Amino acid sequence: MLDWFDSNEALIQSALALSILGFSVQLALRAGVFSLAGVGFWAIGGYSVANLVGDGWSTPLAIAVTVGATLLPALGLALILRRLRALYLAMATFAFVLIVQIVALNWDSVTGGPVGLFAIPVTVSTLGLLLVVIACAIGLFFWERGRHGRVMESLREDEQLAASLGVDVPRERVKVFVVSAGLGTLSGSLNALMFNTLTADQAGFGLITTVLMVIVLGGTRAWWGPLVGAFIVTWLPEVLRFAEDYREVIQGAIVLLVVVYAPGGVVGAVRALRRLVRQPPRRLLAFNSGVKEAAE
Amino acid sequence: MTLLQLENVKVWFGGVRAVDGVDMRLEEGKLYGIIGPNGSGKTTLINAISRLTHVTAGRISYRGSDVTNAPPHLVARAGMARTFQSIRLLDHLTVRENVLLGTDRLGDHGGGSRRAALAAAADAADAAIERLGLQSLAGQYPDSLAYGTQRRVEIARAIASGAKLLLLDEPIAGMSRTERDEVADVLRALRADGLTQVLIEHDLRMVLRTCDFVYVLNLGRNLAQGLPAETVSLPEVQEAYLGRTHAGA
Repeated sequence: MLDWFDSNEALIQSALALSILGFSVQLALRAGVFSLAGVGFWAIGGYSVANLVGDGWSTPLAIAVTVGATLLPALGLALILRRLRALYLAMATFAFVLIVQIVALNWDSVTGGPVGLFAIPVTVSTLGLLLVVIACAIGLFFWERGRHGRVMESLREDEQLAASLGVDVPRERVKVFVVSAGLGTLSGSLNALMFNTLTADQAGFGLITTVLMVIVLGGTRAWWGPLVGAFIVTWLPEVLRFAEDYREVIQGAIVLLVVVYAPGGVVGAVRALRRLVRQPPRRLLAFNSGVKEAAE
Repeated sequence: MTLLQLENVKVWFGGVRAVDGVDMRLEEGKLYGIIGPNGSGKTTLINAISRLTHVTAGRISYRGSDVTNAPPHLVARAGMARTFQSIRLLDHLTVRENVLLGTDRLGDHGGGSRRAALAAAADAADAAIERLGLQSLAGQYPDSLAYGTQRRVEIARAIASGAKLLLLDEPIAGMSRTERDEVADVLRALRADGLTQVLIEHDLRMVLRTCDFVYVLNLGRNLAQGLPAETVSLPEVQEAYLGRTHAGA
């Protein structure tokens, strides 16, 4: 077991760090807020903690200050974009990610410019990262249970219905956007302090597609979707190593198959199975009772 | 005491005058019917009252406050609940969770501790489920239920909110005769409890059996109003519903 852990520690770290970014984007999506801004905040978080820790700040303080400080710009961005929905919001937040990337490429003194930051102090251990992921998961578990979960469901499915039930739709959407940005910042912060390098290319279109894959494969309807998705996305290239040059083609095919045949990802498949057990379709019930009658 | 008052309310969509100067006054504890042929503006009016549609002109007063431009969640929190013409249940939530959704705002403004508010919300949801006879279906998902049953879940969600005013947009559409009678009994029982209700309905039998007062709309305007039996037999109402030739026949 320990040998397995040692040889796979880097993958475990990647999956755990990616799962927090997955939480960030998935949380917004679950409330019907198609925001990719978490990826931009991932970069902001990374650069910020890298500089602060490099200046001698303690890791927890650097992360706390960074996450806290990004909530205000996140709120501003949420208010600016509050009227946008669906694809338009996705495009606007994608533009935000590109702006962050361009700033990162040109603000040499803070970001290292195109070369990026190297030799960032590695101050986050795998255990520390795991504890943060567990804390996030517990928070999201309680967030999605009960009232908040139902409100998010109503926001995603039917904003008009939500409003008619007393939900302050604009406020809830802004709240979700800001929490999502906070999680994105946290993910970027931990990532930078774990892998000791950060370049502007890391926080671009590639990361957006990776996190969307995490959500599609893991599922959008439960907190644990990104966790499962992050491990799948991280391990898939390793599992498919035998396919060499065709690895990405197979990966793409798997995503395509999941989108078509299991659009809810792993979460959706598990829930469908659970529902089937709890509440078999009427046809099956009728068939079973017919078989029973025939036997009698 | 007046609960809701509409004064010359207009809702125009470009050149289409869906509601064009409607007046109404709803007293507390009564069951009102709004009837009229298709396209007479009934649903648009309900949307305007519940603030889901912009009011072009006029004034809507609810519990003494001008809510003409209020956001929908505030009028909902002030005790206005509604159902929709097309069923709007969340298929990923169970029946009980859908009904609980109607009580969730109680957690915000119930006063007292959060735990007590949540317990009160759960009790209200369970009472509504029982009232609509949905106990055995509480753990089911809406998409596995019959159409009429889904409608009952919507009504349960609306009454679970502890509403002062309940707006029902064709609540018995798609129901069997027995289910319609059951819903009629529920609405009458709610009226006996003092809940003011507005019922949009095409089924005149239901309107005659349940409503205390009826407003008739045609082409977005008030056509007639009064006691149900008298109002539906007025020649102009008959004509609006059936057309001049048939009404005269």
